[in-house]
Amino acid sequence: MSVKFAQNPNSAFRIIDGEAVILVPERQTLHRLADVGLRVWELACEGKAEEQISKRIAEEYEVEADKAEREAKEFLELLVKNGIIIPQSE
Amino acid sequence: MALSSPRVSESKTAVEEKPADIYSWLLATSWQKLIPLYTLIELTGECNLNCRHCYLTAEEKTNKGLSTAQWFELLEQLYHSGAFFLSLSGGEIFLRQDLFSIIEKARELNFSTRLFTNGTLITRDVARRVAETSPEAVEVSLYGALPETHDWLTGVPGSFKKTIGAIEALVELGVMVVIKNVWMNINWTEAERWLSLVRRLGALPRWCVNVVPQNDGGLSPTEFRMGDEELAELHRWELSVERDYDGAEGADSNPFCGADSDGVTSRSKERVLGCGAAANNCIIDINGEVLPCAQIRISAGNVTKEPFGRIWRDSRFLNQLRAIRELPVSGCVGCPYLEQCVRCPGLAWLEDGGLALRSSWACRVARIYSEVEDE
Repeated sequence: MSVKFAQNPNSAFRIIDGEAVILVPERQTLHRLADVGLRVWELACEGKAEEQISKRIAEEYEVEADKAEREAKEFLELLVKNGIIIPQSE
Repeated sequence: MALSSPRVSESKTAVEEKPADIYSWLLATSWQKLIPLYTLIELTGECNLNCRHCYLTAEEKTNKGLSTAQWFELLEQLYHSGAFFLSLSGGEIFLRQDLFSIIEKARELNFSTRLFTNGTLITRDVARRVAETSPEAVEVSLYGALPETHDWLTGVPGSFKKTIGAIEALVELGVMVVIKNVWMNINWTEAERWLSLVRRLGALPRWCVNVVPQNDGGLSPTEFRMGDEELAELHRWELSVERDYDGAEGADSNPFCGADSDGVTSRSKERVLGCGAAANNCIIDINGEVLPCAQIRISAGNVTKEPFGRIWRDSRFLNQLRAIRELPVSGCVGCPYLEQCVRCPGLAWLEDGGLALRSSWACRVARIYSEVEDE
């Protein structure tokens, strides 16, 4: 089953000049996301599942499905690792 | 755009980009786009302490501030203007019964929040509620290492103990606490012990030596300023601390003031406004007046009468400040003490009669610090 995600509720963010600036207070870290990375994060924050996210990325950026799936998965893992998003249990 | 394009790599790299690089970009962008990135709101003038060096006037100390609904409306407007780092200040903010409603509203709008407090009203239950709102930091004032010193300065016996209790409770809950201090002729000899206490409490230290006049220009707080010899001795200690201490904060490192046009946090002291005032910093005071910073108490407009965004963009006063900010300050260009200068244009305005003038206090501190560093 594909994992769903959500914004880390502790985080704060702003979209500034088309890029997301995200603060994770419990880690005192600041992150910046642009372009595809920003889109993946937005979809994750909307509660979309990994599968849905990679599908949307493949459509919106016109890339092959397996490439989108692989890269979206990798990026989502990075977002989770940095506490920017959190996986949701069903 | 293909997923494998360079932009994807940029996006990926950005997650683990150095915070300093992100801050630099953020400061430069907010400056260029005129975004009030750092905004401080003064929720109330009321305070349960009676600090001898307080900059609030007697009249301000009885002012309860705007209503909940007015703050809610303002937060929406600030959000739409791009404000992000929101400091909640007073008076003592925990005197407001609706404080948590305001904080929660700010968090709903995804503001990063900093709470300025004396800590005395933060019980363990209150600390838990604070932690639940995930503030970026809670900034607590602690004016000495000894209860008698702090309590004398706050005018309230027992305040030291309560403040320490609040810090312990917050730190225990994982909240980042910054302990702030102003070194004065009353407390500076406790610097070493104070820093040890801050470290033992698991908080970050921040201090300065700028005892500022009252908001109406009253000079009574400045009686507590350190003398030349005391400043020199304190600076010798600061230099030894800088060598030993690897903390993220320290002397005169208020992030609220230091937003430079180049995205550099050091101030360009020979310019009229070498800080972020009116560029990416502003304050909304207890009456809803929009001020360029905490020291320049000249209103650009009132948010109860017109939208914040219009004031921020179109105020004649703010635009005048923006126009003169890069001009050199007469008497500062070529000054041999610029490196150590802590000139605050607001202080120059309050004490020396003009934003574009030298700050006599900054000149004095810079000269003494320079002499110490040349020893």
